[in-house]
Amino acid sequence: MSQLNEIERINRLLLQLASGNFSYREEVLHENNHLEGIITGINMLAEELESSTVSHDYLNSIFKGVVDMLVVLNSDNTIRQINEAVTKELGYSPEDLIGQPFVSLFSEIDPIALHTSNESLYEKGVCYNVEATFKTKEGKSIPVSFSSSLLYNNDQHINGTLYIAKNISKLKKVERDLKVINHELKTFVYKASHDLKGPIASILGLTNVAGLEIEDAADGEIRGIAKEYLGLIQDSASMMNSILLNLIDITYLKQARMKIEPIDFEDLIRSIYNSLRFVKEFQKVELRLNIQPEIQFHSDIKVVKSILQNLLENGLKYHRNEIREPWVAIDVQQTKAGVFLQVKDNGIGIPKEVQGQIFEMFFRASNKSAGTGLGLYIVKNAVEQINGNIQLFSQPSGTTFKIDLPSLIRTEVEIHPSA
Amino acid sequence: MSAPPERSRFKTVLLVDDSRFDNLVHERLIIRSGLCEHLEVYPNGKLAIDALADPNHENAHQLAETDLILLDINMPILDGFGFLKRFPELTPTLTQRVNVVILTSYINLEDKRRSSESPFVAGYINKPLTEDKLAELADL
Repeated sequence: MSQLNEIERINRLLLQLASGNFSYREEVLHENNHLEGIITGINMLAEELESSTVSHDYLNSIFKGVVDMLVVLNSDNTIRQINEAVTKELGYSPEDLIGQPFVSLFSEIDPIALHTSNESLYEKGVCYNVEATFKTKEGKSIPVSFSSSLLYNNDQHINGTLYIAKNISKLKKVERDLKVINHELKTFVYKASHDLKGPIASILGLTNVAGLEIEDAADGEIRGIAKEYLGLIQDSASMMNSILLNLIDITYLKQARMKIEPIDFEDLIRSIYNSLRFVKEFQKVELRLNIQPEIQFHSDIKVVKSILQNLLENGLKYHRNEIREPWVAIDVQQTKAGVFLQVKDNGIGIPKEVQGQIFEMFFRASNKSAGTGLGLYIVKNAVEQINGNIQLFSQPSGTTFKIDLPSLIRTEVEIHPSA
Repeated sequence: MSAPPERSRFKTVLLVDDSRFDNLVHERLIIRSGLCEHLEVYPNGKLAIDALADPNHENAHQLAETDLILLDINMPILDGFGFLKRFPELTPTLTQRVNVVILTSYINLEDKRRSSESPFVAGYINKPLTEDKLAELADL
């Protein structure tokens, strides 16, 4: 082996590398000389070049292959690189964007969203699913959801940010449509129950007056028959009326806004009892009230009223006939968070096997009197609406409902539709 | 039929409601109870206002003595709120002697708030009107 030969081999190797053939290697002969050492060094360099060049292509192919929009920012928040999805979705070429500030991509900047996303980004290094609006080259707005993560160089210094954004126009449209449909449904139930109240009130009024006039005019037998049927019509219309009142209560509970005000339980319970005690079969049931004086409690009075109204009415309705002193006892005590309510009776009780179902819509546990099957459903929804908690204890000797309600802050509370 | 009281509580009562069923019920109950000497029925707010404002109305004399108006909320042409809004157009002699009572099948808080803005509204009654509720009216 001559020296010239080694120089030739070095030359050949360098030429291959210079022409981009990073997989070329020159065989190293095991001779302990400097020139062979240089060949070994160049081979190692080629190795390095080959591996980094492959991973560069590999990264590029991933970058191109991602179907969501990818934007890489420099540390000064100017755009370093975009992928083809950005061009496809927004119409910009790389030349339009590279070097431009990232914010120029946004059509509306929600400062709070941007601030929260940056906070999370710099605190945790990542940030997930922030909704924003991008602007296309033609000026159209596109809703997107983006996630981001910080990029680091070899010295672990931040040298940029990677943003992945997804076009969520379709999702947004579905969301909007759902909201509209949901609103229409609520309005429909509300309107329908209100509109039906009128004709039912008319039926109740007409049967009432018919009863009075038949009393005056008709003779014995016809009077008896007519009054019997009028009574049945009246009962049926009253039942329908109760269902509608329940439906109206439910639409109130499902609506988004509540009014928070101080609640006087003594007043509230008395007024509920006054509206119920004209019912003849309720009159033999004694109401026992034990309300701690000067309770401080804020909530939505209509919602709290729904709870107490339905529980008290159930207590009065499902009393035991054979018992000498039927009663319903309502206790109200101040707690740290709000109030503790207990509605207890010595009535017929709720059978063990149906206790799991009594809060379900339209479930009826008893044939004793015709209920709408909505009362306890309303109670449960009402308790949940004002962030409370309800427990049922029932035996054949009576039923106890225990309810914890937190006092709410005296502002309008926005309720999430999912709650 | 029980004899009406010696003197009726009201001189003239107006029923303003578009439901002919409810008007029939209310008319019969009011006549039976002897609550008033004279009763007029109007199917919407506009016809009631027009009648009250018309000096040449055939019952102008009785209309001038109106002291109770039972007012429905949902009506065509001019509803209960519209009626309350136009009510002050009438002569003060009339508006000062009249009690307006809202008589409707369901009054929600918003309707109650809206109607309570009128100083002429003296109360609310949920339909159907019954003898008990009429007795409360007599106490106005």
